[in-house]
Amino acid sequence: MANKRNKDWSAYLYLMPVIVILVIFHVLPIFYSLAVSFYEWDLIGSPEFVGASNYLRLADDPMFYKSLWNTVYYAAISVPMSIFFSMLIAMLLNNPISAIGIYRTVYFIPVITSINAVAIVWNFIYHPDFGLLNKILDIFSIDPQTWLQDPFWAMPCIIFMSVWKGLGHNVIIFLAGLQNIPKHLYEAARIDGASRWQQFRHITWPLLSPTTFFVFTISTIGSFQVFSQVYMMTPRGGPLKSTMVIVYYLYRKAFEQFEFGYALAIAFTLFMIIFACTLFNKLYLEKKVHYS
Amino acid sequence: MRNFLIATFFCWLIIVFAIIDDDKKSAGAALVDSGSEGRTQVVFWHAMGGPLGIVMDDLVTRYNKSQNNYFIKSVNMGSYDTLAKKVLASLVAEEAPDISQNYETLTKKFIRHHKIVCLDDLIASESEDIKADIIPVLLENNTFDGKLYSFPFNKSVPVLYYNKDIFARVGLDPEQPPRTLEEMVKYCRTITEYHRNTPGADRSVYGYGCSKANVWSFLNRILQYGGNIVSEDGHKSHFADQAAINALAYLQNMLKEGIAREGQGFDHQNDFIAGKCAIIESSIVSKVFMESSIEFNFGVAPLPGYIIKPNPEMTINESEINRGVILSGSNINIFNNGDPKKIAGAWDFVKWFTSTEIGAEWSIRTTYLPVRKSSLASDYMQKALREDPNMAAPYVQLDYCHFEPRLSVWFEVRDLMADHLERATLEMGPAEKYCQQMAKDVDAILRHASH
Repeated sequence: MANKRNKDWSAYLYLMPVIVILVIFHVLPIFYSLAVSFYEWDLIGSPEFVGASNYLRLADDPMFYKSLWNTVYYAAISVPMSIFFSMLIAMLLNNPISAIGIYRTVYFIPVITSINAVAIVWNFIYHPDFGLLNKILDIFSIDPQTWLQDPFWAMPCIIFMSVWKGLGHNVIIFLAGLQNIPKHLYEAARIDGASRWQQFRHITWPLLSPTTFFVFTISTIGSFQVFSQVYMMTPRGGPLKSTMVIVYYLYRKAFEQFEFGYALAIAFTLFMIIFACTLFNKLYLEKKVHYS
Repeated sequence: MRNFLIATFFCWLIIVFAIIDDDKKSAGAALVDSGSEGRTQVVFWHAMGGPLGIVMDDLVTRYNKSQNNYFIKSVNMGSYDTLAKKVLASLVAEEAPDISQNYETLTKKFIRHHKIVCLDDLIASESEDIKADIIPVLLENNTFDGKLYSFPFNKSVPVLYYNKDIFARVGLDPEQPPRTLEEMVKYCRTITEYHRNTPGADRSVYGYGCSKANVWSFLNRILQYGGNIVSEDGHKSHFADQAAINALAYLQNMLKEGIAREGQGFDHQNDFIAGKCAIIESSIVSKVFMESSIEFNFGVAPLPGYIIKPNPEMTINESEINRGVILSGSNINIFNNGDPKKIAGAWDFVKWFTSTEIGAEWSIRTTYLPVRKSSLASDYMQKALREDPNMAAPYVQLDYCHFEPRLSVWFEVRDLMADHLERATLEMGPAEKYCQQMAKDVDAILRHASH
């Protein structure tokens, strides 16, 4: 008994550093944000208690709904797109071809490059007059577009760039998942005469589902927090606020208009939304996951 | 493997010690360089980068050499945006700088919470009547409830830049920039049509260029059309008035006709430098940034005005033109950090920087407005004006210069206005529609705001 308790203690000791960091930098700020969201505060003066009025204002703020909708739009397109392409690439990279290391590196380079640097390069690609994209379209005699300056195209442009940027990260996770699938299952399937598609449908897809579920959950959380590329590529939230996402909106409220209480009310609402989404994933979607 | 790890560890150690050593050396160098021992150190945060930063650093160094009591430590924060964030964060941490550049909206907040020093108290101990020498519009811009709280520091006005070579090419007089808004439309039409219809000419050249959703330019035009921005009490906007509708329709019509183009950020400025755009409206400070890359003759002129009651002959008399421009740029605050010596040092520096001679030099080298009337009249300034006629445009406009409303919610209002202006030139519907919606939305903010 005494021995077991000792073991418990050493486990807590090992967990200690992480717990301390999580509590100081994550748990406490969450409660602090919740508290400040009931105040009006411009940083200079002292906070003034206003009750739930920040939340009431939020419920009535058209720009909040617009930014929420834009964020959902971003997530709804970018998450499935990212999963589709990264799974496809991972399956290709899972083949024993020569110079596989180079290909894996190539797909991973965007991930380790600073998002700010990447955004500046993509700004050039999307430039209406000198951009690479319009130059390519010109070869096929397609009319040039204004891309990031066009309310219709601005968000798709950001999504496409973000998917490309994050691809390598998901590819690595899918590769790990694919390598966990026992080879003998494929051999057996081939002996039974299963086609490529049938092998994917009945072996790869179900056995990869824990990985897919993980990637889906993490990507959804990440896409609700999209900020840097929007900030870098579409200042002021894009043409007609078409790329105004929720984190950028709260950033503007906090650091440009100095309404900290209101910004934190937005932040806390976002936290609740992400929490609800993740809970839904956990309770509902995880049932469909096939843990072998 | 183990040897490799040990070798890596030693390499790491050597690098760490090298960095620590280097840090010590540079810290030592900074101390020796400053020679600040025994002097009161005054921390000054600003946002003057590029060519402006060079002038700023030069002047600060000269100030530090000119006397032995105070040492100004100037820190460039990169941009106004970053500066404002840093200043606020420093106030929360109670580590505010002694002086910083700021916009009026923040100044008002600082006053309310007693974070800055009232300059009237400092001026009172001076033998010279400084306030009487400050350019009136700048004095008014920095006076809150009858008291001077900030000092105009780097104020600028918008001007018209025009390409004299293009003017000459299309048969316009290069020494006669457009005086009225109508004249500008005519000029732009002439320029654009010439390049479209003349064989061999560059077809991409157009008349007027500006940036998208340009609130500053819109406000200037409202004044030129004889309108107002917001009511005296700050509770109601005038954006649904005819002057505002005219101001918006003016731009829409030029864009529709294809004689003007809107760009993102500084696109119009780059088009001007490349000789693609004949006329642009921009801050006088852009001159400092553009000058070195312009390879043609260019002129700098006051913004055109509008003749509200045209005479029957429809001739243009200078005296009948209603002109108006709006100031831009920031002021300087002295923070109340509780140390009278630092406050005295901060004031001494501000006084020196805005004095007749240094103010004139700052103005000539950066194109920012000088603070004092005596700087404008100084021999130094007059000589510079004779040498470069393009320098005069900002000073000429001082007579009809205004400033934006100093409301606590003004940044929010500006942002909202930009949205409506953007929509107006994107959809190209009737100007009334956008102006009325703009007025409605802005009024909703103004009604609830505490001023």
